[in-house]
Order: sequence, then C-alpha cells, then structure tokens
Amino acid sequence: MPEPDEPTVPKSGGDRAGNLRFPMERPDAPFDPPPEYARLRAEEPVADATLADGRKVLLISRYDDVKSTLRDPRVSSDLRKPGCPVPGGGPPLPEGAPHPCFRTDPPEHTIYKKLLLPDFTVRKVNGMKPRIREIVRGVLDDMAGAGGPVDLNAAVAVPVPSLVICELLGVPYADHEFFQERTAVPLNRSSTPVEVKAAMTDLWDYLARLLAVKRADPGDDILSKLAASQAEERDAVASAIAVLNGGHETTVNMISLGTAVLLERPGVLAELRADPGLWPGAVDELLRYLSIGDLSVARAALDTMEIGGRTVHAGEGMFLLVGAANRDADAFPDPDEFDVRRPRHRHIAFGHGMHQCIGQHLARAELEIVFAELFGRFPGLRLAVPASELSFKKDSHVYGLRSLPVEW
Amino acid sequence: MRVVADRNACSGAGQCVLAAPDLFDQDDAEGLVVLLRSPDAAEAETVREAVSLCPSGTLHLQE
Repeated sequence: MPEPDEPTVPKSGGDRAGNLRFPMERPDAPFDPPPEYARLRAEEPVADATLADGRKVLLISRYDDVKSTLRDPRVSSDLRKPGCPVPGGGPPLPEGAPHPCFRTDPPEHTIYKKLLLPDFTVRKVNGMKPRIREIVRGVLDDMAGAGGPVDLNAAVAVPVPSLVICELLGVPYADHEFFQERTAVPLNRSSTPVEVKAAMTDLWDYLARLLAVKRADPGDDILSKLAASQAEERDAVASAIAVLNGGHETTVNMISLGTAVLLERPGVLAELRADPGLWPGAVDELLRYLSIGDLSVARAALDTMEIGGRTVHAGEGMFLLVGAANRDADAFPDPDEFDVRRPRHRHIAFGHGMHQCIGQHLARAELEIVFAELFGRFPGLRLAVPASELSFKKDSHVYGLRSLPVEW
Repeated sequence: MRVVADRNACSGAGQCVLAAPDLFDQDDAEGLVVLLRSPDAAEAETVREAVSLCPSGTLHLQE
C-alpha cells in the first residue's frame, strides 16, 4: 500500500535522455540500493542528475572514485559553498541559518575536530562499553516487562542512542526523560510538523541553557568543550544538535533495520550465537550492506578537477553514493551477498577522508552491544507482522524502518 | 619494515587502531595517531591493511 507521504519520483529514476532524478526510488527489495546504481557504476560512474527543485548535481558511484574524491582537498562539505547540495537533496538552507561546525573546511574544521576527537577514539569508546551495556540491559528489561508484541523501534532503537548521547553531551540524569521524549518526536511517524518543530525548539533552548551552565561549571563532556571553544553560542548549540543528529537517527535506523536483516537469516543468527566473536564483523557487514547514509554525503567542487575521467568545475555539487560504492564488485566480491566474514573495515558507510564519521567507533560499539544483548536475551525474537507489511522510510535521507513490531 | 605516521595529515579516524591495536593508538589530547612500536616481520600483512585503510594518507610504509 503506498504511503501518503511517499515522494513522487519516476519508477525508473529518470528518462533515457540521461535526465536522472535524485534521490531515486528505492526498490521493492527493501535492503538493497536502487537498481539504477548498478548501471551507473558500469556505464556512467560520474552521472548528471536533477534534484526535485531543478538544481543539477553529479552522482559518483564507483568505490575508488568515491574514496579518492572524499580524500581530495578540492572538494568541500561546507553547505555555504556555491553548489553544495544539502544531504538528501532537499531545499537549500536559508541564508544565515546556523551552521554546524563539522561541515567546514580546514583550518576551521581542524579546530573543532581536535576539540571533539579525544571523546571518540577507539580507546575512549572501549572505556564506555560497560556503561553502554548497562543502558542496553535497562532498556531490554523494560521491553521484557512490557511483554510482546512491541515496536522495537520505540522500545529499543530510539532510547539506546538517545541515552548514550546524554552521557556524551553531559545531559544531567534528571533531564534524561525530557531529552529522550523530545529526541523521539522527529522519529515518530505520527508526529505532526508542528510537534516536530516544537520539540526541536525545546531541545535548542534546553541545550543553549545547558551550555551556559557548563560554561560556568564545566564537566568532562562535549557541551563543556563547546562552551569553552571559540564557537559563537548558536554555532555551539548547532554543533551539539549535529552530534545528536549524527549519532541518533543513524544508530536508531541501524538497530531496527539490522535486526530485520538478521531476523530474515536464522542460519546467520545461529552462527552468531555459537561464536559471539563474529558480532563485530556482522555489524560492519550490516553497515556496508544497508549503507543508510547513502543520500547524505554531499559535496561541492572548489576547483577544476577530474573525477573518474570527467572534468568537474568549481561550484558543481555532487553526491558520493556510498550505497553504490559499498556494492561495487571491484571492491567487494559478491557485493549483494550478506557475509559476516568479509574483511571488516573496507566499507565506506561512515564516509571517508577528513569528514569520515567521528562517531563511528561509538556506533559500532552500540550496535554490537545492542544486537548481542537483544538476541541473547530474546532467543525466540521474531517479527510480529508478515515481512511484507513492514513500512520503510523511503522519503527520508537516512534510510530506516518506520516501526518494527516484534514478539518473542 | 618501517611504518611512518605524518601526524599533520592524521584525521583521527582510528582505522589503524582497529586494524592493528598492538601497533597504533590515539593520543588523549588530540585523538591523533601514535605509533606504539615498530612492527616485526610477522606483522607485515596487518600493517599493510592499516596503511590501506587510513582515510587521510597519514601512514606510509618503508620496506
């Protein structure tokens, strides 16, 4: 049944005159990228496409081209640069809108990266794992107490990353419920635009107040660091919101989509139960296979350069299709197979180059712990509706499930 | 075999630490790469993997 809010894009993704529309429609096979991506990789690795508002962008689809472009200092992720499309290909940000410090070029980017990076290193995240496990077990206790069937999205996928981000940002325990409630609103399909705007305004005001508190009385957390940095207040709040956005919706969607993929594969689940050492590989394979940030990697050329044999000019905008690159047979043998024993870290689901996701190790840790604890605690976990009735976020720039009804 | 790390290029992605935690770490002050020790001959494959995964061209191999 079609969703009322489904975008009206042509079924093929464009006409034959090379007039590709972007984003393209997802296929009926809900865990695969648009079928057109295979043709782009083979025939048009740097393709022209048109956004809904008529602006032109380039689509880069081969693994090697995507990686080398993301490492090239002549491309910018700064949304204020001429030609830079916004993630998802929606309308441009209004002039003077708050701009997250992450979407900048060096040397500005380097300042913020060095400020926040020490909180996201492999070692730091390893130190957070016991606390993440505690959070996950608490959430699963609540789920067990509620009894099935439950929506795994609302019961597990939304609260876990929200609570982890509370820890990172330095949101006091007493405010966790407020923070969780507000962060859940944009992810709830029954929320109205007015409710979403009100929740985001609440969060903005709350973080601005907390930033002032941290300025006077700093702790060992990200808000305190932003408060002590050179960032103007609204940029500091925008950056805190970016940490929230970067670490929340993405992890939420990976938890529920990943659970759905694994529930379809009882053989893989049996292997994972027999050898929990396979979980890290399974998480990286889910990241590659699903590539939920496929529409998010937007850049602009700052200079004339060559990409995949084509000349690209300053001011041209582009999307680096990590979902296409992660299914490139030149980089991944049998790319459409789900194989938890692949070499782990070659995929670029977290992007590549200096803007590669700062939270990638945290995301891996959250996913490993959530999946291992979930399938360990509920060995009989199963869908509570036929798989054909699952509803996917086809119109969102971060792909995901609208809900995941499960029982056990 | 010698591995060289250019900290000015490092973006702190930590891919090397994932690939070879015995050889690489990230410092507490900036989160940038630290070489813990020189790799021995038996670790050549692991080091090559770490160098190829580095997203910023920080690591170089001298064989």
